[in-house]
Amino acid sequence: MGARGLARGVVVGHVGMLPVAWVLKLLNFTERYAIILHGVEAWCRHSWVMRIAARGASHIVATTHYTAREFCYYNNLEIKRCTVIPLATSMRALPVQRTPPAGELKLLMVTRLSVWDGYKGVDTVMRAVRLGLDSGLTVTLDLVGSGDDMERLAALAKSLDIRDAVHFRGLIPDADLPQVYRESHVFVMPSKKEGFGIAFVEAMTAGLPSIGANHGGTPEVIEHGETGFLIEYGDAEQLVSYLRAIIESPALYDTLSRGARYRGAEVLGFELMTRSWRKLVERLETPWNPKPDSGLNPDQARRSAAKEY
Amino acid sequence: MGHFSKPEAATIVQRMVSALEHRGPDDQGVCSLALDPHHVVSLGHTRLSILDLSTAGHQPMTEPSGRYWLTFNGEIYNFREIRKLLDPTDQIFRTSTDSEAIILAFHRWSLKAFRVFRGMFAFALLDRNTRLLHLVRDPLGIKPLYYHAKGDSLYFASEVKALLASGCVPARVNSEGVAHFLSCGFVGTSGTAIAGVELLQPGQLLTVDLSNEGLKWGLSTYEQAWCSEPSLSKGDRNESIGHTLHLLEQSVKCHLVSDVPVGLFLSGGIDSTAILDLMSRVGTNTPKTFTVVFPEKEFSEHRYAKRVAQRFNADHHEIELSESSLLREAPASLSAMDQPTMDGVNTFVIAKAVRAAGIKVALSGLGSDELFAGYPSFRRARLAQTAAKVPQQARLALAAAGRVLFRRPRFAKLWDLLGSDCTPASAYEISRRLFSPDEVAALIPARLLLLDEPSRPPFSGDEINEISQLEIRGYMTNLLLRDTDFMSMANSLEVRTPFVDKVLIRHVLRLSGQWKLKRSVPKVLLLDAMRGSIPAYVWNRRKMGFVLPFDRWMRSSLSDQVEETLCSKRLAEGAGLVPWSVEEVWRGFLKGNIRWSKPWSLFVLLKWCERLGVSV
Repeated sequence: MGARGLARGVVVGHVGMLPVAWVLKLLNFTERYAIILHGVEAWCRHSWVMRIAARGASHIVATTHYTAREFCYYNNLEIKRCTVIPLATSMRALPVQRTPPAGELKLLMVTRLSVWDGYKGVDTVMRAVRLGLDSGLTVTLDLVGSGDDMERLAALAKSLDIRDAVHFRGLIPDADLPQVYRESHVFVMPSKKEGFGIAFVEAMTAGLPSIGANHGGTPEVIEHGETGFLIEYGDAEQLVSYLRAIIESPALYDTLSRGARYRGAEVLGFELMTRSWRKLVERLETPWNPKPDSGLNPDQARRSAAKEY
Repeated sequence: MGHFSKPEAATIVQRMVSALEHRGPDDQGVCSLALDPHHVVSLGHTRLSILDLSTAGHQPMTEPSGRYWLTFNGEIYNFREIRKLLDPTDQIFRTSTDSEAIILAFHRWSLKAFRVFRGMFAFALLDRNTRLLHLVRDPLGIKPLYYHAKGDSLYFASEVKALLASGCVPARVNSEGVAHFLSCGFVGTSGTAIAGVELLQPGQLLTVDLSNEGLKWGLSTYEQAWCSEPSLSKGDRNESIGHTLHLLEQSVKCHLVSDVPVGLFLSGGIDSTAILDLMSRVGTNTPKTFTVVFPEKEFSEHRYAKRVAQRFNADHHEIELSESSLLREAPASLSAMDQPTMDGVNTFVIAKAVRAAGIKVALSGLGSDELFAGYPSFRRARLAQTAAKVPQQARLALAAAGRVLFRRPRFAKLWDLLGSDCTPASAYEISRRLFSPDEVAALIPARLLLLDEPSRPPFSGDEINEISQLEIRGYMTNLLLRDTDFMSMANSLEVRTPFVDKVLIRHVLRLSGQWKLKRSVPKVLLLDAMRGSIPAYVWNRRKMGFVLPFDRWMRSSLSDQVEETLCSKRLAEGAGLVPWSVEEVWRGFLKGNIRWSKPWSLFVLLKWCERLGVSV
């Protein structure tokens, strides 16, 4: 805090609160403010009030380069104004050695099962289970989560004749999730609108290779071929082909599992995120303010990657 | 392959290989394998070294057990991912080539392997254990694969010329192919202009069973590049366009996989500018760009290209060509034509210049107009949709009146469109029409089926995407890609086409056609996807293209040669055409009643027949 009642800076956790932060600054309750962009809420053009408020932010923090780029493009901001700080999980890396699947491949998906979240790709995974069984693979799917779409999904499982292979686990407390990860082999969530996909990081920290969609922020979380695979949204056949490759090659599974754990625990680790945020908060003392003759032309600013911490 | 002895087969294939030397000056190989007394398989290859420049990339290629043999033309851009899937420790591989990845992927996944490949390819893969030979072509038809079956023998090659060089393929004109060429300026989808020589379809597999006496073979489709899913709704526009950019970046990144420098044909137009921007984002080296500069302003865009190159800090090269040097290249470009085409000369000229500058691989913006609604056919299709609301009788009457009152050739297609059923298929066919059905009937004594278009699903209701599919499967595959292949490979230059990528195409074809056409902005969806990085001076000017001044040349420098050819009874009859109808086209052109493209296409056809010794 600075002078009595005046904050040095405010961090706004969601783009919807931008106008509030702007008003706080206008009324001198804070010197400056930063905004965090998570995902799909930032991938569009906002109202003039929001755009003005965004321009007034001293720092714009996005969880992925994709989100930074989309937000800046739609709201006429220079990409250089953005900082990318990936999310991380506080879940500890599991110490057990991952065991390559022998015969059976247990898939895990942790997600809301809501009618509004059809983009998560649950249908695709279920169709992939059917295709996998048809081609001789032994595949099961654990669905962790609940929501108002469960009834439809249960009916889908019945129509695909995979009720024995799909287990609706419901909601599981966070403390019990590590055990669920231990029991699984591959995490799948071929969602097309993930701003980041923290669920992938949790799975990777547990040593699970992840399969996500080649959309949104996911390609910045999953390293294709190193920590898992990316498929085109809705492509169940492609998903099955990667599952088959994993089953057929213990060496492949081992490589992906090690890569996943390293990425989840180290590259996208909680400590790194904490350090990045600490640095950013310190920089709130010195907000971004290019001089008129800084030599930055709009193209250079546009083409520079957003800053990373 | 067939009933020849090994030495005979090797001799035949060597002749074919010699005819393809221009495609691969870096290495050659022929191997003959006697599977049993009744079956000999002989494979040949000419190599243009791009990945793994060592001798390890020699083809035909086999693996340690000798079970599989491969001869392969093209690139598998995701071969490194495939290698990882097969063996993350990389121990099973002996080379750094994509060819080896094909063999081992097939060994692991059998026919399913072909669907995993992302790239441009045509190859023959022999499995000695199962005694099956597979001929495979990529799902977009970027690379060609021709074959001729005769009795117990089957011949195949990347060019028709090589099949003729074998000495085993009769050089007879295919009237149906010629009719198709006259109708739209390119030979049709499934055939060629030579009787008995077929073209493997995109995504098609020809499997030869060598296990019994004789030769049995069959065709099947292993992958279709199209999707039949409905177009996405307006609500998904932002996310879809963001994903389009992501796929464009990935495609360009894929197409930069190479052990030799990769250049870019830079015209200064939207497509090549987009590729340059993407190269500078995803590539690791400074992009090398090439622009051909003509002193004649009418077909020179070099000042735009230079400006664009500077904007993206490219290593820019200008190659000067005068009209006289273009004319000098015309005979060589005609000689390079593997099949008759009314286009392609410009590609030959540019390819030769870029190759002379030391580049073996170049990217091209080919495919963007088809995907992002850059052609007039898209607007015509929309116009046709509007016109379809007028009762048919009224349209027919209007068209008939128009033909009488406004006879100039530039209006002919408008009246044809009005008098048609106004479907996108008709709009496409009329847009691409060269000679009308009546004109073709006058030129060819016995007219057979004109358009052998592949079967199409019923009209989806989205005329823009419908035209996209027609343009991709017709004009792009059968003219642009085909011409680019033989004209660039004639100069030992590999041209890669990032817009012609199956993942990108599948995605863009699912996007609503409404998003792709805007009156005032060309290729609006591509511009949106590029996030404003393409400057207005690039897109906000008249599209020039690169059309050589054939009209002027045929009235001046080439006049004598063209007249001699088109007035030759011998040449016309040899091609199966009616001589006086051919001459009439020439006279009509000289009077100004006929566009240059018609006499030029006849000239190209007759010279092609003459050069290859093909006749009815």
